[in-house]
Amino acid sequence: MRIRIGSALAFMVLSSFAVAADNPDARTIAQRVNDREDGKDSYAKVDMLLTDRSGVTQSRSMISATKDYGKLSKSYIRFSAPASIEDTSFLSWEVEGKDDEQFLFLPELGRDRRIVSSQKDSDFVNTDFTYEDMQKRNVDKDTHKILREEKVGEYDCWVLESVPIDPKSSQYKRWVAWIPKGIYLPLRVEFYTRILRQPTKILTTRRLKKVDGIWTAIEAEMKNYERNTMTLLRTIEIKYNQGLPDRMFSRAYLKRNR
Amino acid sequence: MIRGLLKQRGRVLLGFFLIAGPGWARKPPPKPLPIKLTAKISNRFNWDFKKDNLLEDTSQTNTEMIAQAKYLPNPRVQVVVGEWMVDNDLRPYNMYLNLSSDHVNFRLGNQIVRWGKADEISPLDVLNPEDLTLGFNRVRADRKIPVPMANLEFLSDAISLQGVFIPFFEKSIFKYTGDDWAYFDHLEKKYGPINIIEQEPAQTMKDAGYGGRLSGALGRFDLAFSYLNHRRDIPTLVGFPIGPPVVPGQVGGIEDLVKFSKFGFPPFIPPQPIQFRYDREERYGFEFETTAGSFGLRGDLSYVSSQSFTTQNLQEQWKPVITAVGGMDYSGPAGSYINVSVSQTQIRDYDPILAPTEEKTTTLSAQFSLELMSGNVKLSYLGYMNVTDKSYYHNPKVNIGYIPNIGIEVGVDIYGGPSYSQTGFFGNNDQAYLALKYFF
Repeated sequence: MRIRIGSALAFMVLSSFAVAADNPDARTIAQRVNDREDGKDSYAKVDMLLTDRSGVTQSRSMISATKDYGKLSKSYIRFSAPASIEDTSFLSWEVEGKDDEQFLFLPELGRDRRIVSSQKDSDFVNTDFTYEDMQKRNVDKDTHKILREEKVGEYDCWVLESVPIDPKSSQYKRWVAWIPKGIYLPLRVEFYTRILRQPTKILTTRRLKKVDGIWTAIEAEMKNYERNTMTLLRTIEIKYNQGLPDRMFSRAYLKRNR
Repeated sequence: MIRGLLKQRGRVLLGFFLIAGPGWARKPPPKPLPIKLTAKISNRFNWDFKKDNLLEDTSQTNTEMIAQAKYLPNPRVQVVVGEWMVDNDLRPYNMYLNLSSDHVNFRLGNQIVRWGKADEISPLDVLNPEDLTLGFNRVRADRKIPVPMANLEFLSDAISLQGVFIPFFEKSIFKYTGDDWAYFDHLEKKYGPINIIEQEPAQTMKDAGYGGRLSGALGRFDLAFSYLNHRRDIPTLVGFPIGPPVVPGQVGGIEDLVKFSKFGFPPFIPPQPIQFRYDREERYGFEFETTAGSFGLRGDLSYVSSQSFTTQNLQEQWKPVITAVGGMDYSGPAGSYINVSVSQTQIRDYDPILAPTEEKTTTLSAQFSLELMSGNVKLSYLGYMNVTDKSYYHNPKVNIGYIPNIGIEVGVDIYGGPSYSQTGFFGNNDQAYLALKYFF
């Protein structure tokens, strides 16, 4: 399973699809999104609301922590509700240019387990986010094009289209992101899995806030138009640069105090 | 629920401060207690496929409840108190004190410790006894019984060292007779009451179990070595002082054992009770886990230096035993999961007089699941097959999770094989079931 929740919650950040201030070209905008300041570490409490095609909703709560060690980045997630998945924990160690190492603790088994990096088009714990959505993507794997400039709410945005150079490197044929100038955090991303005019999924940042000097998506939704399902993410609390201890990202911590 | 209670308590206190005046109100509000309550209540309704005898109830309800309170005053201290009720039989569940620092974890009290990397069939996962009163109807994790233990771990990034001490022996829970899930029930119905004597170890420190486990990672390989010195929680048959003569080419079974114990071998050998005891054993273990491409790979290897086996003339022979298990799992798209493992047990220095136990026993186990409807519906299968004696257990099921805090499971348990095999004992117990679980 690929549980890359970098920079608070990477699926809220989607750092590879983005933009900035002056008059940059498309690749520069994408690179600036990728390099966006997201702190040396982060700790967040997040609520998740899943709505299925018949309108039935399900809520989940989790804590997410990340820490950067240069080329190595570690992340930790623990579900705190509902009771059916409480204390289920994930640990991911991501080294640039190498396969991730991932571990899962299942409280009902009382064991931690080394797990396989999931297929990128698999859903992340039954949400509308796939593992690919949660990973950083090298800017040079795609060609980028500024389609136009457009205003979204109070934000002036670039509308940036990205297309994978190697079609096999992504589940998407292309994606289009609305990047507010100077913020570099996508307000809206349309994902196209087929050569169609209609996107399969749309990510919308509903609420944006500066926390500890870092732009953060406080509320975001991913709507899957193919399945008619939706996942809403709400950041309840987030802290950056807290000097999180290394032990929090160790395998011993994964099963401790459960 | 507990949060609701605490809020309510907070309101009462606030009212009290307002009435008592500003002097009281200046005091800081009380902090909520760092206590977490959890509970799991399950009711399982079973319907037998066939009626074995006139007295048998073909439907049955099993109720199980686990309630647990966790007190977490700070991240380094944890106190857990839990109770487990199985069909009105109340047992202690997890009841321990856990103290931890950066590199040390110490847990003292009733707890479950699981060694080994393999899944349902793991020869190293034997530190805790199991509740076998419902055969294999529950997965191994749910059958584990917490026992008093001291568990000390030294942890570092490279290696971890764990030592356990189990002061008192506790056996697995099962029945010899008087129940559909009893091991001799079908034979008691056939031959009448069976005289069984169990030699239980004295509950003294002489019966203490102890062991250690050294684990670490070598690249992407997780490895562990373990040693355990304890009494087996499953009994072995005590050899008869004088047994029946061996008939060449005839394979003995449990039925022969019962017949001999009831009727003897006229006119020379009188009937004798069947005796069981709990043997002490030393178990050496090696386990590994890694990933390769899209697959997870894991395995256990255990070596028992001396284990008791029964010969055809109901005497005893002690032999070393090696068990190896290899498993592989794959998580596919759309919430699909496949897990298969193969286990082989080999009796070293084998003697053909040990039949029906074969020199090598091979077992397959498999688990498949597929999640549908945003994970609210899960189709799955769990099963074992002993390739050597052709015994098996199959459990296909559907889990429905639409209602928060309620789990619904519908499935069937199918047992089969020769009557001397573990699952063959329960060959008449095939059943359909509906399990309802409420948890918070």
